[in-house]
Amino acid sequence: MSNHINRHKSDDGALTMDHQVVDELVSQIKEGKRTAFDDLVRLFQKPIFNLAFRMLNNYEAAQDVTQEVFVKVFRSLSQFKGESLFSTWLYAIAVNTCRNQRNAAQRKSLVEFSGGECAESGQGGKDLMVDPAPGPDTHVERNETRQAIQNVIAGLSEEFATAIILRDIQDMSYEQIAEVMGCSLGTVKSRISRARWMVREQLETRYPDLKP
Amino acid sequence: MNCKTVRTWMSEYIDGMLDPEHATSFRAHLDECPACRRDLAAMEKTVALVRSMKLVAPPADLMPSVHARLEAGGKPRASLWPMKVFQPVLAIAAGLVLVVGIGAYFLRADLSVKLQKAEARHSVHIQKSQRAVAEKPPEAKARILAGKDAVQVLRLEEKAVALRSQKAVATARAGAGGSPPAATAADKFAGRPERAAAEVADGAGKGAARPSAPVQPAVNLTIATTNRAAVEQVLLAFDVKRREEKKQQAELQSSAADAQVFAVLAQNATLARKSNQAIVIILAASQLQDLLAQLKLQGTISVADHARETAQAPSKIKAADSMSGAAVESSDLLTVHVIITVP
Repeated sequence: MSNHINRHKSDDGALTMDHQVVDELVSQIKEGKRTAFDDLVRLFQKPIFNLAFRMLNNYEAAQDVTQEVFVKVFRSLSQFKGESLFSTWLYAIAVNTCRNQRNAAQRKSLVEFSGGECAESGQGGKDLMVDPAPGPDTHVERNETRQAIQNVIAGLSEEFATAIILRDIQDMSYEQIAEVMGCSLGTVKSRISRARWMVREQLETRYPDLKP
Repeated sequence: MNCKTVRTWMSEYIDGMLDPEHATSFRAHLDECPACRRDLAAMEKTVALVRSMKLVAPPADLMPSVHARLEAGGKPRASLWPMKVFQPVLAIAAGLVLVVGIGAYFLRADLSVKLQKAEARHSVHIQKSQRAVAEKPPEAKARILAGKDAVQVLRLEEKAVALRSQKAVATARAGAGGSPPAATAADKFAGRPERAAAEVADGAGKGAARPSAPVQPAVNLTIATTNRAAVEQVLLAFDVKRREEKKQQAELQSSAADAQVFAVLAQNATLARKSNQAIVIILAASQLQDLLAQLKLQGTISVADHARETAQAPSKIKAADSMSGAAVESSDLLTVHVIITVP
């Protein structure tokens, strides 16, 4: 099945899906075809894993969240009525799961670390998810610039990180982001705008010598 | 367009989300404002940096890990898929069975205890009735039957009256061979409850041997309450003699609230008397509220948040018996009868 799935990268690197193929897979899973679920996982594992990785800035945590997302999808697929794109429904589950993971990690960090950098306005949980000194064996961005961006985005509060990741890394439309995040188009515009300004300011402050 | 607006719209401008009119204004401002041009360049650079982030390859063992989680957590295999549909239904059904089962257990236990208490009280009442009949059978003025057992007594009395009527018919047939007098509804209530109760207590045979007393007009006033003290005062409203006796008790005579209760109940009693026949007054919920309010004023029964509760749900009057402290709901109160017989 996976060999005929129309999956390709767009020019800017984002992944796009053939919605008809996805719908067919969903129907087959609902009919009990387990291999269709495997195909669905193969189709979405990369964008979902990347969403989690960018949100959590931790490879293992992203792996765990991605597994959890697909398990949730499998168990609650009967609740998906096709009123939205499957990818929208899937991303909403992924965003919620990431949010829960971030909150859990935040609570854990707050317990474990009494000091550290305080969160600034609009940047709740700043650096709590960021690995300050990743070792050679950890899965991190090898490029210094990308690692800096990763750190900054992961340091944003959840709604701003989600907005900028879905827009600029996952290449979602404003409308689809609004559906995934369950908010208005105006809110999405505002969040993307503010997230970009915050990333810019953070990069200029923390990484003044950063080159594109 | 000012710099603040340009900064607000900058992100949308980069994404091509501004409508042509605003985009034109936006560009016009940029032509005149070097600061905003620098901001736009910096923002475009930031967006380009973020968009340069490459997709990271997921771990190779992601699929096996998902499978392992599915197997470990309830094994929702494809073949069991229909079970996923029925699971909520089964869960709800199981929950209902559990709730009903527990409810039935406690209800049965509760009813069992109540029945035992009612039977005990019933026995006491019948014994009292027997004594009353033995002491002054024809002149028995009144009695008090308070509690749920009053209903049982009433039913037993009806049954006893019916039995007595049947035996009277049989006796009449055997003696004169004429047609028996029809037992009226009034017969069941009027004049002979004590005798009927005594018959029930004595047994059908002995009761049948007792000669029938002449039918006397009577009033059965059924009032919903659980408060025995209140019933006692209700009785006083009917029974002048006993009221005179109770006059010695200052707390009853000095209370203005007593007068209110008496006035309400005596009014009903007067109406009942005037009808000169058996009347059973079953207080409606609204009337019950009034009665409860009166009793509350009197202090013999305390009604918890009476006005508020009844305003929201008239059928859910919650009262607390001042004597027992037990919470009582109107649904219970309406089935609790006080039978006052006035000749």
